[in-house]
Amino acid sequence: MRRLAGGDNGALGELYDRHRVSVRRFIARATADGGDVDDLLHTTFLSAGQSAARYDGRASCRPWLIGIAAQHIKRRHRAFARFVAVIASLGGARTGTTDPRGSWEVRPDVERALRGLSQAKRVTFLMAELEGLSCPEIADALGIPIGTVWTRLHAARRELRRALTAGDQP
Amino acid sequence: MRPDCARLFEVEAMRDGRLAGSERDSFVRHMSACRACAREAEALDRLVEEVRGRCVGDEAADELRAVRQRTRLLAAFDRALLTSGRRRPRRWLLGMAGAVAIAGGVLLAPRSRPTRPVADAPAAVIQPAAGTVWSAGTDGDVERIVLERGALTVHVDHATSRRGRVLVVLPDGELEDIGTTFTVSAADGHTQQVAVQQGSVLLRIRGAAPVALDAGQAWEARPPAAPPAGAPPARVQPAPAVKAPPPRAHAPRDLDEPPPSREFRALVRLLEGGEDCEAATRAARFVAAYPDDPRVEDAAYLRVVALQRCGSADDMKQAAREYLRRFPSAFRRAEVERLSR
Repeated sequence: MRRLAGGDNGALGELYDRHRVSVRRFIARATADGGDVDDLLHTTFLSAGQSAARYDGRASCRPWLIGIAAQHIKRRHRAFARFVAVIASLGGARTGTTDPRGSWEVRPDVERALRGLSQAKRVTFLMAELEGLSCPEIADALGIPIGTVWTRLHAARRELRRALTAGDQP
Repeated sequence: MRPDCARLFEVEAMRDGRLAGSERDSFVRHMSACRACAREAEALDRLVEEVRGRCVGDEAADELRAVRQRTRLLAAFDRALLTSGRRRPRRWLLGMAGAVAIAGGVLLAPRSRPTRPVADAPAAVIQPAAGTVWSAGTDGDVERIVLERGALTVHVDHATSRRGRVLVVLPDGELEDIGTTFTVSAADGHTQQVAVQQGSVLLRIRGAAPVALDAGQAWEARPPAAPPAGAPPARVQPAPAVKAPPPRAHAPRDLDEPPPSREFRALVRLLEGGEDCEAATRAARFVAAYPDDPRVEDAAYLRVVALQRCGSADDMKQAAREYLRRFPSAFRRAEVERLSR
């Protein structure tokens, strides 16, 4: 990280090689639109390179990168919501996306349940349960009180379980 | 359907790190004997496994695309460096520049950039010293001022701000404003000095305990050669008058952060610091004093959590019942219902 903070391009390449897969997986799971995945991955690593001087020195970079990715997902989500509102105000339009994850094996019920969560709850849940970040780390990364992290996690689990249980009903 | 065990909610609490010490040990012992809690823990594990298995094979995403993305990323990084002027100078250059900025900047009137409010929110008015490298932006309800080197004088007017927090991100920590006017300087990747003229701030340097500074107090980094092992990294002292720039002539009169924000933040800090009984008292005070605040439900819930942690079972049940009466359709209803019995 010190090399990266000094503007070493090769250090960014190494960081990318080491963490690309896990950060990409987090983004892919967290975003509702698969078309955003590559752009968000690019933006996350570029931001990491530009803010390496502020890296807090923790042993692994992954939670830090996941935090940056979560911030970008949040911003993208807000920007998209504003865009949709403008389009809707102009008389309504359909939006469609292309999903680069087409080759992935997806369980539709889990996919549906996950997408049924709000953006905030989905990101918090994934950061905690799949990426293994602690609640204080999530609160720090998202800039929210720890109580809000607990609330989102509880609500996300409840909603996911309810959705998956409903999906199992004949 | 009634839950099979009154402690079922603790499965989730333990998973989220809300149980600690003897509380956690006690629940681990309980879980080894309680089938309902063990089932709940398994159900949560299963839920995560189902979500984890959602995308099989994503690691195998097209290698060629990954290489293209890598090339694009490095090119963009190079462009960003060029746009910002040139590649970053070596650390000793940064150190020299920082020292010059502090020596000249803190004492002299800032002229390098015009004073301006942060982005579109007029909460923070920033005066940078000559040669200071800094940036500012907003993220939700947080105003984030990033100081890389040099010195900034910041005035925060919470009375006119719609935003909740102002954070100064420092090379080795962060500074949280609590309604104030203060000066902060950094050099060579380290915070050098913080002086508070009005209000108060909370300084968090990595690897050291947080330091609260009130009006008239200052914090200075120890000289590099000084510190004996294990000693605190800094000292708090009355602010030297000569180093504390006067507040801006047109600074607004009301410098206090809105009390609800201050109270809520103090409450969360107490809870995070393990001062649970004190947190419970604070939470009760918050709920009574600010019934219309958007955080009142959080505060009521945190009161229940705090009382549970400090072992006041009867008070906790009472607080849980009050919570349920007041927030009948809240997110935490199921958890609090169990606690209320």
